[in-house]
Amino acid sequence: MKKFRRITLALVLAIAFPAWGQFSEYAVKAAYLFNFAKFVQWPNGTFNSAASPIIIGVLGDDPFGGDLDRTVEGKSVDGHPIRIKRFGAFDVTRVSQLQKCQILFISYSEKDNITEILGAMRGTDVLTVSEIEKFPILGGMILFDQEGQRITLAINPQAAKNSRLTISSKLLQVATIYKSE
Amino acid sequence: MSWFSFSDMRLRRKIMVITVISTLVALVMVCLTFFLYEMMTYPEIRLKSLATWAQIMGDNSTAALTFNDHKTAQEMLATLKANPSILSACLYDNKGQQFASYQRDRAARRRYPAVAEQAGAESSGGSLKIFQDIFSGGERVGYLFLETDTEEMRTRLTHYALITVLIGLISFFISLFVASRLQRYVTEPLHRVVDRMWDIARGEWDITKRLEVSGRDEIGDVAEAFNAFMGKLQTVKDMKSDLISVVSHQLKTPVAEINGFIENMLDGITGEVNSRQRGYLDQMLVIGRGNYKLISDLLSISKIDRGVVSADIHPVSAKEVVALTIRDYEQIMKEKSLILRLEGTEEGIMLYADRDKVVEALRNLLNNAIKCTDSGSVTIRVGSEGDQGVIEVLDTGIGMDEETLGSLFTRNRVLGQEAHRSGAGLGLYISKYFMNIQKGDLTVTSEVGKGSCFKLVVPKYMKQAGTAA
Repeated sequence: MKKFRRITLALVLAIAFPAWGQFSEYAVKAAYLFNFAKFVQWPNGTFNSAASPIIIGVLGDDPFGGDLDRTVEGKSVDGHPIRIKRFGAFDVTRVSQLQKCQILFISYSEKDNITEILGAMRGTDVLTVSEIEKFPILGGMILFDQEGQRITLAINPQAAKNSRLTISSKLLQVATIYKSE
Repeated sequence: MSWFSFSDMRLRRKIMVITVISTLVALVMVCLTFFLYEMMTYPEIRLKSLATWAQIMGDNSTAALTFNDHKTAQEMLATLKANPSILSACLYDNKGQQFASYQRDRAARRRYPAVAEQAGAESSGGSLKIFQDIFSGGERVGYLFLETDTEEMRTRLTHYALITVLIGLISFFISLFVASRLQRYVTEPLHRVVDRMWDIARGEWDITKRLEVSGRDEIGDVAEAFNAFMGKLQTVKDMKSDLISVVSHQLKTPVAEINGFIENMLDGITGEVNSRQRGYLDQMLVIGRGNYKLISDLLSISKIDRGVVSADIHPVSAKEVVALTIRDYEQIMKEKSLILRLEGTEEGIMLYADRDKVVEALRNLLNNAIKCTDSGSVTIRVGSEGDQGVIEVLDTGIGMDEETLGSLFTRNRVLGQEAHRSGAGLGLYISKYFMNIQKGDLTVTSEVGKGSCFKLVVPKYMKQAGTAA
């Protein structure tokens, strides 16, 4: 039965594959990054007004090229427009700037500073996303993982909870769940 | 009783048939209403139910669609197993390409549209298909297709039919039971009334009897109307008795006087009577006495009817009674060459009775005996049985058959055909009545061609007691 399901899944994947195969990896990741806004709830008081923007910060080298800007262009979630902010490499003096983001993508280039960055973001209501290995175990929230050609998600719900963020169970359903070490 | 002739049915069954039919008609109407309502509303309910499922499924699959997770989508669609009426389901991504699918029966290989279609519902051949857009955060992320089969509808209708038949059967038996119980409240009082009516009708028309009025319903009305009818009848009967009484009373004295004058003429008081005149006078006397007897009988009957007959009871010797009885008949018997035998008259039996009434009864018996006997003898035998005195009148006449004996002492016989022989025929009825009111009786035994024996019984006089018991 289980085997049969796997075969079915493989079939479905094979059919579906060309559908996203035509997009580059980072185009998909950019879309995911934007979509996280739909499945995450920030604590009350995060936004000054109903029209306040959701800021997506990119820390370190930007791997998206123009994909992220194209993805979010003209879009909004629950009335909040999306804004992109690029920070370059981690700088302790600019931590307060980072803390103003709602979603922070930590680029692979910040691999060596990851402990420091997560330490700085701890307790703030910023959703941290990265592609650095073991990200959720280190205390990050969402990791872009890879399963074959497919981009998967790994989530540490406890880390999100500590930052007073509520991640929809629907999102958790499609992700692998991790705990901090 | 035919099943098809409702008017010939007994009331009991009519009530039951009416009750059961009206119950069933009401039930069928109710069931039909529910059935029609179900037929009308079910497709809508079904569509709503399916739309709800689509809504839930679509909502749950937003993350799977957004983050391209086929496995989760597949697992989610598999939860549709909970609703066995859903035949197949298919999830499409926002490009309209198949994303995940579900089939209730894997072997059936239901086809779902290769690509997503316009949102909407379509019903064909009992199966219902629905296409629904899936939105997430104001953005369309995919489509959902669901299809149900006709099974559920068929099952529902079958259940409805079964329930209807079952309830129909149950209520049929309940209403039959209830009707068989309730019909008694109508039929039983009616039966009582009818039985009593028959009692009254058979019981020699005792019009003083009345029905008991059991209630204020129509049956009570029937009883009351019947009682009123009986009352009216009694009034008419009383009027008839009064008329007879007055007329016969008015006639009795003149007829007696005429008879007396004829007797005087025969005795020669009015001068010499030649043989031809004597012949006519004899005839007149016979007719006159006949008339007198008839008038006396009618008077007695009217007295009996009005209940004003009473017995004047004294000690009287049987010998005296017999002597008084035969006084007027010796001449006639001599003319008919009949022998009159007297037996036991010298034994000194004393009766405790109304002398005149016993004499009248005996005279009736003797009169009948003489009329019915053309040759031979008539015997009057006096005896006793215990404390009862017995006077028997035996003849050697034509006798009577069983049928005649049966109605001999009833007054209805008067209207019968044999009146020509026994006169008015009221005599025996009156005689028996006279005997009965003085604790006596009158019975008869007879054999056709050999003669009859009338037996008259009255209490004997007991010297020690002073009065009869």
